[in-house]
Order: sequence, then structure tokens, then C-alpha cells
Amino acid sequence: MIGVLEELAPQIAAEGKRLHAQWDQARFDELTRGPAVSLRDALARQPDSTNAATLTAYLKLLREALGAGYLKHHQTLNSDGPIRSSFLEFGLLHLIPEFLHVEPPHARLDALAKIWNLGEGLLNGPAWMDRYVSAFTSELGRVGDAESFLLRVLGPALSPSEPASWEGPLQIAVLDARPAHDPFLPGDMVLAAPSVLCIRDRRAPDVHLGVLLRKGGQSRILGLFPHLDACDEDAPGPSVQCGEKRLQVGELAIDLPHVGHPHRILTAQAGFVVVSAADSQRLWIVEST
Amino acid sequence: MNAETLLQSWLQGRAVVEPDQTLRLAPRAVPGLAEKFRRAYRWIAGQALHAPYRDLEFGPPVVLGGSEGKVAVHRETSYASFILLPLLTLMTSRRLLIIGGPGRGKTTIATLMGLLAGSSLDEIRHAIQHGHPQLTIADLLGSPLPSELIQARETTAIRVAWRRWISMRVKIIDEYNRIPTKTQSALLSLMAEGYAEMYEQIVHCGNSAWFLTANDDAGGGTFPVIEALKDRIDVVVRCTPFHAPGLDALVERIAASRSPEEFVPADLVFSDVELEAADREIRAVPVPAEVRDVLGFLLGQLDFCRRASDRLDYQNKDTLHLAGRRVGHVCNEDCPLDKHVNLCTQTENGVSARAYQALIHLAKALAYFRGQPEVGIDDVRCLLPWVLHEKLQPNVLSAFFQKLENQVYLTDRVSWLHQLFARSLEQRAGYQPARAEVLKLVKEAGATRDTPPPAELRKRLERVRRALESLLRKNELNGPVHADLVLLKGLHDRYQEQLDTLAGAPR
Repeated sequence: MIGVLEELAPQIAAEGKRLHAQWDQARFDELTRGPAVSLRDALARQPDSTNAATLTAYLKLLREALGAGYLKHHQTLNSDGPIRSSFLEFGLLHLIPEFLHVEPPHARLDALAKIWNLGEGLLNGPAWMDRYVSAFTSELGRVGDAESFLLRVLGPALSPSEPASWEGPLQIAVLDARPAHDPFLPGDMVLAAPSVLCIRDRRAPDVHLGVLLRKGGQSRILGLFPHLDACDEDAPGPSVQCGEKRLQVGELAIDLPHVGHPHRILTAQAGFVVVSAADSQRLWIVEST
Repeated sequence: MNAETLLQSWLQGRAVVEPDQTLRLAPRAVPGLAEKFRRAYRWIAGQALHAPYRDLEFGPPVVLGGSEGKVAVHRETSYASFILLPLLTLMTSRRLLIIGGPGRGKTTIATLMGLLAGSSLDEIRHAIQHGHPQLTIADLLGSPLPSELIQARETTAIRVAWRRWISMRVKIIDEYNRIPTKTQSALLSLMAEGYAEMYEQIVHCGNSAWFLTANDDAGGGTFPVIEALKDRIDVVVRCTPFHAPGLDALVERIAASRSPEEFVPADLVFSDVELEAADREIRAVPVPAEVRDVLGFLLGQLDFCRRASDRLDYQNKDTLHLAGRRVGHVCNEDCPLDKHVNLCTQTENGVSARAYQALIHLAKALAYFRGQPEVGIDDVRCLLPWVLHEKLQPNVLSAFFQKLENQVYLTDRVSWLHQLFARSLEQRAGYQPARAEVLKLVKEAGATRDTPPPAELRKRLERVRRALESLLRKNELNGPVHADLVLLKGLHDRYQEQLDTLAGAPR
């Protein structure tokens, strides 16, 4: 394997330049010095006749991803660290270099193709989906598990949510936006998918936060999102009234600790009421059965 | 949407492991042709050519500076005319003249367009027609096969070896003003009619974009360019001057011993099918009534000359020219119109329907390129100077150009045409109240194709007459008023004809 990468990289780079208008040679050099070296070294620890073909295929995927503009330079936003990457970027730059060698040699090329196809499918899907999946990538530790991982993560988000009966009891969870983006102040909210919320920063209209709505107090902040359009929900919701520190949902009521003046209220037919306050970075997620 | 179904569809993606254990990636579907053109523009601007300024500007300007010098900056994306106009020409299969001094990139930008259209660099280099004083029709078009010239009993049996460039999508004629007049005529037939004929054999040039270059279109060529050929050129662009920051790129090119034409990326190359599809999409971009009216308001005025005739219909500059006179001969103190206000004084001629069509077509392409759902006034404003650059001649004797601050317009034709458009917009806004009744009558006339009943026709005729009276009484007879008078007169003629038809009168 020694020397293979050094030999292949210039050929692949020349092809990249010939094929792609967005070719970024410096970035390709960076990738061949980083993730490609990690993969080469990991494969080299298990000598196999397929290793060179695997490395070639991997470099081809890097070339294509770079040329198509799929691999962004990490941008920092207010020094809060990188914006979340796509699933494909996670797959190419982290999952494959670190874990592909775990797969049996004969299955590695198929695994590479699978990661590519799934990642590109996500990129071409609705804007929320890739960001949403990216929020869970830390749960994926094997290249061969990618398909089952996506089924597990996407299943609940894509299943049409049964309209809640709103019979109670009500349960509350409080999420803090600060760990995702320190200056974030929740503003307008839309449901991008039945259980995916997109919230605009009141002070920075270009900054949005994604929130996953999950029953059992498992709602969570997904991180920074692009702007997403609202999806339609046709089931009529209950009447919702929010006063100081108290929320009335139909006949039911629940205390909202620390909510002085409510700022925005959103109802999801899956059985959630999301409340933000005028003077807080928190979100109050009230759920009903 | 079911997660399992979705995943299965994704897994049928473009990465496939071949039986020989290699991974193959099928070509990526183009996200949209307009986006592909934008990528092509960005690549040329960023990697291939150095354009020091972006002079196609959109949105309201923010003017900085004062009396010593002003700079207008814009909040929307601007583009370099030297790059974008050739691209729009490729998109619309029209004809562009690139003018500028030697070594300014005229042939390079034309070659890049050929590469984007899918030709190889060698093909393009061989296909460029270089204008020179000895260029014959045979050099340009081809010649009959010598053996057949001798053996053939009739001309139809003579096969002609047509030059290959004729059927190429992108045609480049370098230094067209050095081509002898007779050969220019052959070129004119090809450009105007789309085919060439020799020994009763015909070759069609198909849907193609033409790029002509000239070092100096104002007489610096070896031969004067015939007017009809000039008239077939839809749009003109100037080379940009050299700018110091571009030096780094040139130094790099010298070091790498490469020219920008040598490495157009494959994902920017358009197939014929894509170019045809783009053409269809561009033609479908709507032109709102207001944009058409803005354009008509300006172009109508340019043709008007109050002194050309006493009769309304003939008060245009063609009447003067047919009599061998020029605007400067009559546009003097005998004409009561204010030369600093009325736009008719500024031009020697008006604009042909061909130029109007070219402007509309290119404006559609610009709106499409910018991702706009319809043509906007900005699209027309940006393109108008380049479409009319060689078509509209200033009336240099006009009192307008005698004013010190306006004399610069005689050297800077683009700014002159921008000024014409800006003044026209202002005038149109001021004139709108006077036009209200005219517009109402026009709208009424266009509301239905059915002929109204005689009583209604008589009412309308009366209203049109009153509107004509009112326009003449309340306004001086200038370009905009003249255009509306012609419009109303036409409306009157139409209603009268309909009335006569209903009455069974012979026509």
C-alpha cells in the first residue's frame, strides 16, 4: 500500500480538474493528506488484494464529492464551531477512513457505493432531512450499518404522525438553545416535517435551529439548520392559550416554569405545543398523548 | 413517505460496483440548465479570464463620492459584460460582435464559448475564420470537388466540399472587418438566411451562435463592413482593459505554460440537447406588459422627428433619410421641442424591429440566467446599450451634445444609451397621468377579440376622437405624444373598419 496513495492522488486530481468546474486542488490535497491517509493506514494493517481497489474507489468518491461541491470547508459561526456537515461528508471524511477496515474485504466496495448513494440521496432530498440525520451520526459506528441506521433514524420522522387526541396528561420538557449556538434567541417557528421544527434566530434572520419533537420527553435540539419551508398539517389543533407561566391546551393546563411573556407558540398535530419566551433562549416543549 | 422505500430508491444511485471490482460513478444529473450556465460564468470569471469590473449591475445603486468623482455600488450581484454577453449569445444562438484592441481576449472568450458548446480545442482552432484581404468565398464556404467539375453534365451533379465550420454550433469569425466586400456578402447570406448555396447545392448552418471580432469597428478594418451585415449583429461587447490585479493570473499562466481554453471542465460542457432545451426555456420566460411599455416608450421616441413631415404618420427619421436629409439639418431652433428634454433630438435614427426582438430575446436569457421568473426592467436596462451600441447613431449636431457635461456621451456610447434609458423612465413616470385615457382605450380594445356591436363601436370611436383632441390640446407634440396619437389613430381606423364591415360596406 505504501506509495499507492502517492501514485493515485495526482492522477485522480488531474481527472478532477478536467471534469469539474468547482475543483479545489488545495482541498483535495488536504483530504489526501488526512482522511485518505487514515484509510490507507487502516487498510494496510490488514493486507488484502482488494486494498488498492478500495483506496482507488475511495479517492474517486472524494474527487466526485469535491467536484460536485458536496464537501464544504467548515465554516464557523460566531466562534461556535463548525456547522454540522452532511451525512455524505460524515461518511467520506469520518466513517469510511475510521471504520471501513472493519468490514470484510469483499464487502468494502459495496459499502463505499452504499454510503455514496445514501449520502447523495439525502443531499438531494428535502432540505431538513440531511441536517436531521447528521444530528444522529454519532450513533453510527460501522459502515455496514448505514442502511439500518438511516431506517431507524428516518422512520419516526417520516411516518405520518397520528393526530394526537389531546386528552392528556400533559408533560413538559425544556430545551436550551445555547449549547447549539450561544447567542440564539428563538423567533419564528415552522414545522419542516411532522416532527422537525425549524426556528429562526430573532436577532440573526439567517440563522436557524432544528429541533426534533419526540414523545417521552426525548425532544432534542438538532443543531444549526438551513432555512426550511413549512410543511402543511391539516388536522385542526386544540385551542391553545399561553399566559404568564401557564399554558392552556383545550381543557388541560400545565405550568410553564420561568415563562414571563410568551413570544411564539406552535402546535404540532403529533401532540406537541412549543413555546418560546420573549426574554429567554429556552424552548418549552409540551406534549400530550 | 416511507423510509424503507426512500432508502431503496437512494440505493439505486449512481455509484455502482462493476463485475471487475471497480467502482463506477454515473454522470451527475444537471440540477438545472440555468444553474449550469451560472456555474460556467463563475468558472470563466474565476479561472479563465480576468474581468476587472462588473458593469451589468442590478438593483438600486448606492452612490458614493461627490463632485470630484462618483462611484455607484449595487446591492445585487453584478456581472462582467465581457463574459456574460457571450454566454447569453450562446444561450440564445444569436450573433455577437466583440470589439477591442489586439490581445484583449476577444478570440479567447469566443473559443471558450465553442468549448462550452462541446467542440474540442483543435476543432475550434481549425474552424475559426480569420478575416484577411484575400479571403475568398471558396475559402469561407468551400469549393466543388475538382473531379466533378470536369465530369459533371449539370450543376446539380457537382458536389461541394463545404467547410466544416459552417455546421458547427459556435461560429467564430475573427477580424470580420478585414474580409473583402464580396466575401462579406456570402457571409451575410449565411448569417441572415442560415444557409449557403453553391452550384445549386445548399448547406444549412443550423441553430448556431456567432462570434465576430474586430479590433476597431469604426473604420479600422481593411474593408468597410456592409451595412446589412452590421445589421445582422444582435449585440456588441467591448473587451475590458488590462487591470493590474490581473497580472498575477498572467504570470501563473506563463509559469504553467497553459491557456485558459485548454482546461474547460467537462461538467460545464453543454450538449446540443441541453442548448436546445435552454433555448426553449428562455423563450418561455414572460415579458410583463410594463416592461414592454417601458421599452416601447423609449424606442418610439427615438424614431420620431416632428420636422420630418406635417403628417402624423410620416413624422419619423426614415422620412428624412429617404429625402437625403439628416436629423441635424432639421433639429434646430425651428423645431419648438426642448433639445435638453426630448430624446428624439439625441439620435440620428430609430431602432428596427430586428433589434427590438434581439433585445427582448437576450433580456429573457438574462432573466433566465439570473433565476428570475420574468423579464424585469433591470434586464432590459443592462442589455439595451449593448444591443443598440452599433445600431443607434447619435445626432452629433444636437444642442444636447453641445452642452459640456453631455459631450462625454459622444465618446462613451454605453453611458449615453444608459442615460437615454434613465431619462425615458423618468419621462414615462411624468407622462403617465396624461396617458391614462389612452391606456384605458387600449385595454378596452384588447379585452375581447369579438367585434363589438355597432352602437358600442360608435361610442368607442367618439371616445377615441375625444382622446386624440385632448392629447393634442393639452400636450406639445413630442415623441411620447406622437406614439400615443399613432396608437389612437390606429385604434380609430380599426373601429371604423369594423363598423364598415358590420354595415356591409365594400372594403
